[in-house]
Amino acid sequence: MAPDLARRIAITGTGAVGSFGIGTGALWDAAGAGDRTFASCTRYQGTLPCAEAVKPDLRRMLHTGQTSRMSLVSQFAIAAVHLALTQAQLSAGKGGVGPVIGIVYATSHGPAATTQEIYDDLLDHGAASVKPRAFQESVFNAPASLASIQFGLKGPIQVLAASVGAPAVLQQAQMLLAYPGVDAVIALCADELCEAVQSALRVLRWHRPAAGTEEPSSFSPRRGAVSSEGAAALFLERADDALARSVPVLAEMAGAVTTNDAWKLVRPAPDARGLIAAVRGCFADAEAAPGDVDVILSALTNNNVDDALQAVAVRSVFGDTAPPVVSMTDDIGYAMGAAGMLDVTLAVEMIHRRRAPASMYRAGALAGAIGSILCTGVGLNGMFGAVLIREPAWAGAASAFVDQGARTAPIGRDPVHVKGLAGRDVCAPAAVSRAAPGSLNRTVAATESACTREHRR
Amino acid sequence: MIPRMRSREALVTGVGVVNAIANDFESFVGAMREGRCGQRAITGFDPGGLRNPRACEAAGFDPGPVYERRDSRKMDRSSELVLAAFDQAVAMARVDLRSVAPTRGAVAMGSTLGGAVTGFRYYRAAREGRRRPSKLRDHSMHAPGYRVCIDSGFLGPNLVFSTACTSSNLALAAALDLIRADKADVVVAGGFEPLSLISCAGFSVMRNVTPGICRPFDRNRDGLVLGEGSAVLIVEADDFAARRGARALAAVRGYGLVSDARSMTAPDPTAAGPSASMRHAIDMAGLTPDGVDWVCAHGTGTLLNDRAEARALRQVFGPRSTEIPCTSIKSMLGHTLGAAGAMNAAAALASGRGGYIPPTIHFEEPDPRDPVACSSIARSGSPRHVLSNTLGFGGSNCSVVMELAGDIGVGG
Repeated sequence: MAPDLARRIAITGTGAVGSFGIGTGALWDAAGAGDRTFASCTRYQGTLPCAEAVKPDLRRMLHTGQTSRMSLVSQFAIAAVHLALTQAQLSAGKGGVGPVIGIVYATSHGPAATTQEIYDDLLDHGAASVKPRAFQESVFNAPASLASIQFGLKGPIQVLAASVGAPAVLQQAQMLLAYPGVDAVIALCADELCEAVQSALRVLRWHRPAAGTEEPSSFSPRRGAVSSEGAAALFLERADDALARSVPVLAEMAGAVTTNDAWKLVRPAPDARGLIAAVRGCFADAEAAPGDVDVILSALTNNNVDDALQAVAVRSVFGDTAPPVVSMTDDIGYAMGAAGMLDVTLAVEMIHRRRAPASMYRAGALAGAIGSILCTGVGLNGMFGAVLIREPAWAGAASAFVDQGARTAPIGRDPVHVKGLAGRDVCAPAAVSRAAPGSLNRTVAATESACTREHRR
Repeated sequence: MIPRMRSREALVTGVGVVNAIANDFESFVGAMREGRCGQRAITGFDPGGLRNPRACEAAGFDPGPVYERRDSRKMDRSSELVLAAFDQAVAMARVDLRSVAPTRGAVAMGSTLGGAVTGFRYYRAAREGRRRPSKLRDHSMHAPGYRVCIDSGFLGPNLVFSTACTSSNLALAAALDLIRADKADVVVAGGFEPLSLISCAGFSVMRNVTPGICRPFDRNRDGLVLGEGSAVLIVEADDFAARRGARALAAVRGYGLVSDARSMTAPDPTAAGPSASMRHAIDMAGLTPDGVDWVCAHGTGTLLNDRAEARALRQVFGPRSTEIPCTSIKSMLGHTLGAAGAMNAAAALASGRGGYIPPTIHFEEPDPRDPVACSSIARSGSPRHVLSNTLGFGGSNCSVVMELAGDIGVGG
């Protein structure tokens, strides 16, 4: 039976920022590189290990200095969105919009460092000392709203506070794409390091202690999670739209489900019922079966409780024929609400390149061609999720792989010569009803000519 | 995969509410009819340094029964508020949530700064060298929803939206989507917002807060008053409700969600975003603007926000914008931020129960530049289709259309 392309979701752009650097190429290089050494954060005094992200140079990326004072989490988010839009060959710009593009964003802690700054001001100097700029950027939706402002995206914005971001975001993105008035969705997750949050996670015995201070706990011997930060974004559109505008399809987002385990605060149900429900629900959503999965890419937190749940769930769903389980958290840390989306981004890259990163391959875990990857997540307070990324067989011949270095090349170049995203394009008004497949392409073409005219003036 | 949206109805069968003027739905019906003002001196923290030391705190709320039902000793203020409203809603709906297939039950909440009270207390103690892990259990914004899941046995999504003032309208929209996509049979949807020093200080330094009283849409309005509370709705698929013989109070018919993409704090003076959001909601509900009987407005009482909303109403309703009844309940219970949409929904249900249109108290003189049809006293009436607006920080606009019970049948 021919696939219903109006119901399939094509991933046509990705963006990633984290301790590994900028871009999915850098993520690829870091994945599976080995058990790296983590250091304390250079932005605040603290001894807990972490994986600090490389700060994106948005001035060079976007040709504007307006973003340099934003909170770091917003800068990470905007950089990831920029990369995803660029790869998807879409133009968007301040002052107008082309296609109706929504943003679904999740974060675990939001602009945590800004919130801590406000707390300090309140405690040290009183209520009148809070800075208006800090307050407006402390709301959870700030990164998504600032991205919408930066790129002129007037579609729906949904923001979720979620300890497992990717499945929640992708599930909601599916919903938005069910409405004809929405042409595409940017699925975005981001989080930033913050001294208060990191130390609180250590108080909960979830975080790895400072070097030389390891103590027996329920999480030994896996030592605990190492906090990280960053952002990951996917550009999602209906498969028929992507094919009609002849944009390379990197992978299919086949299924996404978020669940909870209805158990106890800060103590997940030991039978992994939440994660099992998520994985089974994901298969139902994707019309797939456990036997279809080639690899499980899991945001393992590196503590006994969470990782044991993963093992219980895998055994329950896959039995004795479970595919290999791999994780990046030893390489890049655990980027909180963004961790799962970084996994999904790597999965997209694995599908697109039809192989695993060399180090994973050398480890012997992933020797064959990879056509389907299950990404799983376990979060604080009973939040679970699963996402299935697979080869877009319906897209015909696999689109040629373009090296990530080349894909991130637009950074710093004249934006007129790349596809949009200069932050000052002038575009046509938003269409509110869905046109025929390929309308995205036509809108982009119209946008480009309009923008070119505007730039010539 | 992209779900196939079905024609399943999303019916509201129960509601619970806690805020500055009422601690349950029945008293909310009465308090709004009387036009009670919830503004009083803040007691939860030292209001020194704030532009207005008065706010709409849920000062009369007693969380005792919440603890007694759960044999619990301590939880965050957000969880207390949500569970109190949730208990009321379940009782009104007469639903045994354990009868819902676990993966077919979901929670969708909205909040702007939920968890801030506990977070700030923890941080203050930690700075003094006292670190209490127990305080952190409830700090995450999805903790209240998780407590609802624990109570109900739901294994489905526990979503908490945080798009500032639009958060809980978005939660209602998500409930509608989950039901239409056939991913849930019952969704516990709502919003919550604790009154916290961080929100009061933040809005104070941004000079959005009035030093006096909140007068939405009045020509002399000069700012908002912050509020506190939670409103929770039991939203069921019509087929599920029919199987158990439930009585519908209302149906969630449609929503619109549009971004201004313009400014983090200032509303778009063209009002293009909110007007598009209203149009989409009305369209999804299968109506035309003429089919809307009452606007339960966002109406914060700030100069620019009310102006943008009034202009959007004019763009959508034309000359009728000065005739269609319009209410801002924030004049009574303050601006509950992320809970504002759920409070509007509760107000709509109260209107249906009481047979009146709630007042906009303190409204004295229409703004000659942007007039809307507010009244400082309750008007009798039985509106059927209600448009509820929310306009949020960061340029997010979300409108919801509800149909109040009357002709709503519970079909299979």
